[in-house]
Amino acid sequence: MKRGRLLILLALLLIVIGIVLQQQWNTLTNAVLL
Amino acid sequence: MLVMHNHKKSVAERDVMLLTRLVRWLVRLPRHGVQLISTLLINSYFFAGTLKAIPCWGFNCYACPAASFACPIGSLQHFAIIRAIPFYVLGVIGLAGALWGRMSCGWLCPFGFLQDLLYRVRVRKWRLGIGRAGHLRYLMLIVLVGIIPLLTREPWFCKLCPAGMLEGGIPVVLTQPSLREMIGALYAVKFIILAGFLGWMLVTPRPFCRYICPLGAFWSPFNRHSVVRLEVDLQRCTRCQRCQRVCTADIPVYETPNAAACIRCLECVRQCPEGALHLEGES
Repeated sequence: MKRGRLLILLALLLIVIGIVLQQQWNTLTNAVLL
Repeated sequence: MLVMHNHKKSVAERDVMLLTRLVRWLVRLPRHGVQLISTLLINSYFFAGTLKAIPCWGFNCYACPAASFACPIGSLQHFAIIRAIPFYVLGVIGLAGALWGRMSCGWLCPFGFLQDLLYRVRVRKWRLGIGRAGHLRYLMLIVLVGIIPLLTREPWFCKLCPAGMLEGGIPVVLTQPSLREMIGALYAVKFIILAGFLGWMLVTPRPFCRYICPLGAFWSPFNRHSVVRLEVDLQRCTRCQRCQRVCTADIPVYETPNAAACIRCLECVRQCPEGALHLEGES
């Protein structure tokens, strides 16, 4: 399989894994900005 | 079985052709127009509640009061801090890289758009080659986005980021006066970094993208392997070097059409007098 398409599949797999694991993050707090 | 295999192969090729045609259609649009629309969409405020779950395909601080999407670099630091593998973030930004390499830098990134606009200001220019200094952006990605947040449990790239200062630090302080008493030395340091970059952007094209941007560093290796790539028709190319002269990264495109430093702004494609450069899908 061509490299580009393989990378797309890999990226999609990572997205699915992340969604299954319910990964989320905090947005920055003001303390970081100041 | 042989017929099934050929059928599957042609479906994948059709998808690649469709993607290539779509990208070729998009790049006929004025690039600054696409950049403007992208900047407005990424900072469209009204969708901020739901879309912050999606890392945007560009460098944009999610502390900006209007930001709708998450900053991918901020998000990566979060996972470094909590010592987890950022599958989802890597997948989303990896998808962009796999589709078209660094084209998001040239067409979608709001901070790239700002740099392009500032470079149009008529002042004396200082054209720099990239050379080995371009490797600094990989150092930023590995050290400032990865290792230091992992060790210190603080998002140190965000603490120094000029985009964060421009889009988050300044607007947040302006819109929330109660935060002004929290301003300390770090704010001043970030302000100086931002001021330095804004001045540099007037004289050198895309200095942040060339030397610092960790998101660009992540996407750089994808240029050679993405589905949509630049190709040179060697029969037509006369090596006039016009592509290199118009290139924001000073790349000899006729020699290295998919260089890691290329942001795929496609100015070389537009300006090649022989029409020797074009986008091509993976064949």
